[in-house]
Amino acid sequence: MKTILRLFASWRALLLLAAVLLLTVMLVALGSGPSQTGFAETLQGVINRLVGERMNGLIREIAPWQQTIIDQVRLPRIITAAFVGAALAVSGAVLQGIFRNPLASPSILGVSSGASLGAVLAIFFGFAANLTWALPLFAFVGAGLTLVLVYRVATWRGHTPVGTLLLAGVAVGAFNVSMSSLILALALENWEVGKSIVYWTMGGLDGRNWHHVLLIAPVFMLGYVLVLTRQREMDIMLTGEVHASAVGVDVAKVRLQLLIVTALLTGCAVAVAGGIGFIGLVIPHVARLLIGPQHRRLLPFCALLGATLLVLADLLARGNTNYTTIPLGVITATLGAPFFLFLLLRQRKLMQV
Amino acid sequence: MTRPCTLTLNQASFSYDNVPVLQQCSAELNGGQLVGLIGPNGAGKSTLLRLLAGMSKVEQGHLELNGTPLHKLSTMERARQITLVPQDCQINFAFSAREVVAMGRNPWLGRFQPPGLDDLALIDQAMSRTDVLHLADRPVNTLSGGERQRVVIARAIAQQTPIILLDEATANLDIAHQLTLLGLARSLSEQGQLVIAAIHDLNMAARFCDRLLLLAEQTLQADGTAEMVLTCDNLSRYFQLDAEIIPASNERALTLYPRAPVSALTNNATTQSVAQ
Repeated sequence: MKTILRLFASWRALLLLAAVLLLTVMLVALGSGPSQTGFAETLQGVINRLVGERMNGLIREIAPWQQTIIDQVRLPRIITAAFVGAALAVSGAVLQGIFRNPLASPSILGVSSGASLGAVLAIFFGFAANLTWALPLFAFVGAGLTLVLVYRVATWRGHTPVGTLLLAGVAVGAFNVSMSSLILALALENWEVGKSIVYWTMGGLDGRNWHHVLLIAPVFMLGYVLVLTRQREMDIMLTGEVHASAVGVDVAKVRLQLLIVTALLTGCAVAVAGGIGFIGLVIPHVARLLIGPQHRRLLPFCALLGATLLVLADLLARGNTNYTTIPLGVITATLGAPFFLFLLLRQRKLMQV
Repeated sequence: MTRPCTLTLNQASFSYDNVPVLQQCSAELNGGQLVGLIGPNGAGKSTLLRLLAGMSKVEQGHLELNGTPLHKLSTMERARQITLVPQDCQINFAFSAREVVAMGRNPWLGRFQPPGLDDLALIDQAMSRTDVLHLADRPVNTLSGGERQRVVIARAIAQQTPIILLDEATANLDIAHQLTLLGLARSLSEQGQLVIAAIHDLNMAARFCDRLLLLAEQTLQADGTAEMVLTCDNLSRYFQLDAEIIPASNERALTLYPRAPVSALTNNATTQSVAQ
């Protein structure tokens, strides 16, 4: 009984620790940037917003322009980063769960590039300029179609061999990327459209504002709640398809629902921040090692760690220096690619298809 | 205690990619029996069990549970009636043994309902029946094949279904645990459950089962007691085995002593003579 209590306490403690870590990283990020607004000013700015302007001067007197930097530039950007990171990490956890493989993730399976292709199409045909929801909607459809195609191609007689799955993801992903390039080439005829596509495909979180928060926050919440309703089934599906079916899980149905939710989360993350790879691969894997495979613990832990990692990566990307800023995708890929190779080496046996 | 149940297979056929695997199988199986499913390798025993578990759909003919076609039940309803212990019990994720057994309660719990005290008691009871209670907190991927098999069987017991299907459940077990497990299967059937077990060891099958089904050449060739099914003729024709059959006595069940495999030539001769 004591051991159970201790285990119980320890995973709760890990979750709490992750939450504290996220808040700390967010505060640090809020206090960093090229304009003269440091940590103390930031704290004051947050207090002003939470309690009221009359508290200005409690720590330090701040100017209205500093308040604006905090309110309108840094805060929405950081919150967007947190939601994007959480959405990608949760997507990865769900994909790894339903394919029972730690190598599955939105970027590896081509889902991110599918979302990009959808978004590029939305910009090219001018839908995105007129309708706010067109870009995320197209990104969602692109992600969903890619996921269903890859899954269908790789599944035979109810089995989804890992090697086939990854290869199908690579092939469909390559197609998505080349189609995006083709559209970009066509779009360069029209400077304005071409520019906005190039700007968008570079990804990153520059200039993200409260509109972006309003877009991703509700989608993330919805997706997360939908995933939570399936957490027991996801645990059971990890033990194998026949086992899951024996204890009453309709594997095909649950898998399809979860694929749609994953496409929704990834599509929205890509619509807001462009293609950011490897968060969905690295975070769930690390999280599972730390907290165990039970989705009841794993999903919130992934969300917190994913948010932390992306806020941190964005902090590195924009830096505090006058050097050229590094694209966000470069940072996550630099962290993620070696990690993927490490997983491949560990999984060599599984890869023999 | 257990609800009475009948599983009826009527002229059922099944194929993979148009290659027939089972043809015209008929049997009526009732609660209170321990039924042994025997047959040579590749006869389709696992396929038949998957059909009976409702995981694949019969292509021609009927499969009914208490008069209702099995495919009309939802996965959840079906899992309250029938469970299957698959041959492959490899689980690569670090769930504790108790968590795996607790998954057997899934069909009885609401979406957000955690297992209650009753469920926890059933889970522990099931684990002690298969002798894995001492492994409850161990990660299941660190257990041996036989231990893991017993954990999965405990899950099937905790699921409290009137029908339990065991696919080669004794294959990974040492002899003592084979005896314990088949004894357990017997006691489950004596409580009114229908237990259908695919078994390779014909002596074990003869010793524990009330009834044997012989599956060979895509259909059920024989159905009845060990004396009726394990005849010299059936063994040589379907198992390519020349065996001495020692009839049941007071101390022991029917036993067979395998002498030699029947060579392909003699087998052909037998088949021809039968055909003539």
